[in-house]
Amino acid sequence: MTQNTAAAPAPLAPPVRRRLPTRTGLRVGGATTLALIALLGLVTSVSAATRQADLRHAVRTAEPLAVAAEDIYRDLSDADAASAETFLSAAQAGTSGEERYDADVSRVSANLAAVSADARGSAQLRAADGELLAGLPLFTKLIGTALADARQNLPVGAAYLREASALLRDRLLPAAQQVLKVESDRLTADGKDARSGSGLEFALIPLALAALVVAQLFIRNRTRRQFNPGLLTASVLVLVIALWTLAAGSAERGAVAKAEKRWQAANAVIATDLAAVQAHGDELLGLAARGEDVGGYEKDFAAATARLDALLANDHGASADDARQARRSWAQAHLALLPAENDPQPDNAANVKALRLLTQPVAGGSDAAFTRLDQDLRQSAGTEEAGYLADVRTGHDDLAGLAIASAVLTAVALAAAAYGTDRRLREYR
Amino acid sequence: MTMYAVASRRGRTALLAAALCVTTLFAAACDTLPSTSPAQSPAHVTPLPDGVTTMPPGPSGGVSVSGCEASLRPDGPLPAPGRMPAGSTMDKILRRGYLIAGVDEDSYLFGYRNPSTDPGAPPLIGFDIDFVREVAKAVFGSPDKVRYKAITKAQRISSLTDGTVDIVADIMTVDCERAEKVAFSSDYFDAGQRILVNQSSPVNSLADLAGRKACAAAGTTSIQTLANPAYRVVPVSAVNWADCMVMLQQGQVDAVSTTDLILVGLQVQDPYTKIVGPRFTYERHGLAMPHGEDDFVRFVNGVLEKIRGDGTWTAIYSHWVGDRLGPVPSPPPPVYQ
Repeated sequence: MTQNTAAAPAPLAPPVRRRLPTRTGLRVGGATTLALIALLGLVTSVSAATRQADLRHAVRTAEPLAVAAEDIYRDLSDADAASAETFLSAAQAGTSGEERYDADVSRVSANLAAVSADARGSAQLRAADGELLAGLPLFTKLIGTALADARQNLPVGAAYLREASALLRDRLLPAAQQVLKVESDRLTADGKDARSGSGLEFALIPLALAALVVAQLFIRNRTRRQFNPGLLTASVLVLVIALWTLAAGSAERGAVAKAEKRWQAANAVIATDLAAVQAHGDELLGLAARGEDVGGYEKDFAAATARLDALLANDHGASADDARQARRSWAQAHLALLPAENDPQPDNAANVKALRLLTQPVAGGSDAAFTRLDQDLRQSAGTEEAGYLADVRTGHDDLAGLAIASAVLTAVALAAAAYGTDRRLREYR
Repeated sequence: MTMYAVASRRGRTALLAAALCVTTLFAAACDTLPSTSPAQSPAHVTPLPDGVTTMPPGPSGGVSVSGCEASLRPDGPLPAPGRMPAGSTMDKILRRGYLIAGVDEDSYLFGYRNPSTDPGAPPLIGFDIDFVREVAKAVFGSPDKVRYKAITKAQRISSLTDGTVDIVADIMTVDCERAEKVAFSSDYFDAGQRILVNQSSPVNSLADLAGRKACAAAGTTSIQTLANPAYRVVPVSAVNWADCMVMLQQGQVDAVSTTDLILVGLQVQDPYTKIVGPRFTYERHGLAMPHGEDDFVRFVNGVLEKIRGDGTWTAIYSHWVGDRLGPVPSPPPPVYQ
């Protein structure tokens, strides 16, 4: 550099332009064009195929597992409530608590099996899954003891029920939360993968088209031919690949983004439902543990319902209004339970009434209001989850045929371009 | 940017695996072994009841349970039921229409929930409840004019000082520290601390408990006694007696130790347990009332005098405890100031 500046400032001589030999130009231009077309075709095909694979994985594996993880959390919370309900009504027939408890536990087992089968990839998931697999039998054992004691009216049963609930809340639910987080992250990753990875295509499309244009201009300048049919055909095909890729890609990204919104909406509704299930459990355990309420179930109930109310206020789903109405009647119904809990009682009437309101589907009771709220929320969550799956399928179908079509079109374009350049090259032999 | 960046993680892994398989001569090498070791079974830990703590032996250890047991002498014969002296505490209760009693809800045989689903049945039943009913009978002429308020061990004194209840009947040991805060009736039953163990346990006495874990409910005289360094017991404090029972059944403590009457309530819930050793404390139990209502304390002592004499006391004891601790004893004699 210093040598250049030291040299005498030469007058700006026109650069010596050595004319590129036509044959070399044809060879280099043709090779570059062919390489770019091939690369574009490869990238487009692979990208479309992997994005479709991501979406298939989301629908077939990640979504069912994320739903399984959600169900584990929900069913465990519900088992907490249902076991307290069964305990309270041990001496009475006609309550649905035991059936619900059994169904909850068997669903948790089935979903745990599904999660376990795919747990190898994540140490965090394996640990949480192991905690659940080890903890669930302990929980059911404690509940079994509590129920056996309750049938004989032995007060020690209430202590087993409290211990089981503490185990569930302190160990099992946090583990279920971990499982849910990992499975949710996996699902989100599928969506993210399916939306990204188009940068290289965007770069290659103009490059390949530019190479084709330059090659054609070069041939037009150097020969007396206006058009090169081979390269022209290749240009049209590359343009088709480009437009298809852009259109399908943007449609697919739109569908996946829409799906992700539905998934978030489903999550919001599920969080609301979990708050409702927990509050219901607190209410039942509060009655079961009355007089020995050290965990402050009434305080827990207040916290859970506060969370529930905040979430419900933001719920704009189809059944949100009905859910809010159910929540209002639940609040009313809960007030009817408080005398049995707080006021000195002359006889069993308040207890019997509280038990009935809490464990039987009677009008104006907590159980009825909760059941209605829960059904509304689960229905909303189901709608959103179905919407999610439909949107993901749409995204998947938007990419349909792109991978193969792009490969075939690329092959034809390559042949056409090769034919076109070869014809001109032959003239120089 | 490489093409691999476009392909997803799964795509890349699959490509690598395929490449490996292609370059490997032996097809068997393509069967990958799981990288993890066989599942390690997590340590099997039986959970503890909520709120359990293992206490260090207390510096003081033990409580003074004698010297403060003298109660107020009854004021002559009891007034006729339904006709309480004007302006008296009993008159106030009579006018209200019901007695408010603070009781335990989970002490089997003493105060526990009535399993009956008859709305007209009393909400609670037990030894303590029967004494409350006798007091109500003396005030109103009917034992049913009671409203029961379930209280925790910790609320036994506060519910009296804040006026929530008129009287507490909750297996309360008369001790000097409590006697400063509330007024006790004369002794309505006496008991002594003993030990409940599993049938197969080698423990036969307090001395055998040295170095072993013994459970008692928090805030009771029993846990303070267990914390006495002289006994060399490892005291475990639970929220209530049922939690102690759970830990004994789960093998997390070697014994439950409290007054023998409470132990009977636990023992009958599990025939595979037994009460062992002699009493190592002597504890008088009193119905508790707020300070400043001397007329009510004298009245309740009068009721206790009456039922000691007319066979009611023996009938109540026989019904709830029977001969589980040996022959039915005679009622404890009152000690007055």
